[in-house]
Amino acid sequence: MTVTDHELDEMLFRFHCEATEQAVTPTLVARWTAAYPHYAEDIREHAVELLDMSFRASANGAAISAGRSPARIEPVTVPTPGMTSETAPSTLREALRTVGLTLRDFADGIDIARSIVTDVNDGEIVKETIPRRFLRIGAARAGTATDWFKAVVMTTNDKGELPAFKSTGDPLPGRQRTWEEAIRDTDMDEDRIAFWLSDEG
Amino acid sequence: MQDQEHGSEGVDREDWLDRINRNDLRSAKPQAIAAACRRLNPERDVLLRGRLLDHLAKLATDHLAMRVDRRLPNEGRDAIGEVVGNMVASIIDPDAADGRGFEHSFINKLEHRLIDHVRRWRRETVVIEPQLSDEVTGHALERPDGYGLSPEDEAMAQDIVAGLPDNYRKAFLLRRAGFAYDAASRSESIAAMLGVTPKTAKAWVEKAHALIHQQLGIRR
Repeated sequence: MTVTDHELDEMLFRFHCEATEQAVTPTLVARWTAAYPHYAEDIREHAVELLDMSFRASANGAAISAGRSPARIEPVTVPTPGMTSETAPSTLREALRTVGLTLRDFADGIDIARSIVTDVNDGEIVKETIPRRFLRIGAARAGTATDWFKAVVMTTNDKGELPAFKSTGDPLPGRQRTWEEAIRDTDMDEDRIAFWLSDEG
Repeated sequence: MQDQEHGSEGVDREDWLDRINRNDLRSAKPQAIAAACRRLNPERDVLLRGRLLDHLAKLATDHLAMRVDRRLPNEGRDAIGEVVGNMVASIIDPDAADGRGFEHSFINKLEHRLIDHVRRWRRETVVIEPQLSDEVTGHALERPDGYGLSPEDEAMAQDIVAGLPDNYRKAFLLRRAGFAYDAASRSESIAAMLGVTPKTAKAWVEKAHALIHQQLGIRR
């Protein structure tokens, strides 16, 4: 840590202590940014994150008081006109990364076998057989519009460079499976399999 | 140095052992526990120090779990693991500046480090946020000052606010904390805090209000 980094770190810690004691207010932030104009952006960023974090603690506390798990706070699905199929990332992995999720987190979050999400990402499942239920629940988990999420799922084809040391010919694409074949091949329990095989009208 | 090698200067070992035996560490201030950990003899008191550090790690994990953004990778668990791991390392390192910070104000230092982690993550990650295009949606938005949620609605709205896109939520929280859209002299504004124009700041707050009302089923 350089001298400057250390000075910034110390200053932010003192700001944090005071802001926690008094609350984040325009006056408090203005006083600190005036005192340390060269660190004004760091002070503002820290203040915003502190405000956000304090709110989250309060919301989670309220959820626990109401007998609910704080993890059940779900992202609000909002109309997102800026997210069009033209702006959608080319793979599901990339799309989820932009909202802070890995393929594994995403699969666990919607309670589906991780292999299914990997197969969707890799384009191993026939697109036309992927049900609306997956698109709706997936979009809600990612906090995106369903149309945008669907655009990602319909284009994702994230096959990596697979080693083919034993092959004497060029690698060939494997046979795609249908959604039903893929779901039935997982080790999910029967209830989950039934859930993911039934679709919504 | 003599004390550090052969004893545990200023630490009442018997008192800490007694607290552990009575399962009563919760009544001790975490900064006091951190201070004790830093002064206990690392060889003679290895077990006692381990028990105290275990308690601090548990306490820190619980505290951060209530505050971490679940949209971080692995739902924030990696962030918590990193912050708590660094906390333990800095407490047992007599030269670590953070160790002194944990002695001085344990919770504040912990939160400070979580915020550092979140800020780093935000810089490294391009988070997709809904773009503003009122022209596309055609939704007319009222002035936010006129919304006036009742206390009951406010309580119900907490879950909804927590699930709002980052920018909307932060703008909403800043507005609620008394920040204006534009900077008055000698003050800070939502626009300055979020690095956007006052018009965008206002639109984000309005969007947040509109979504909260929509989710609550309140007709405006």
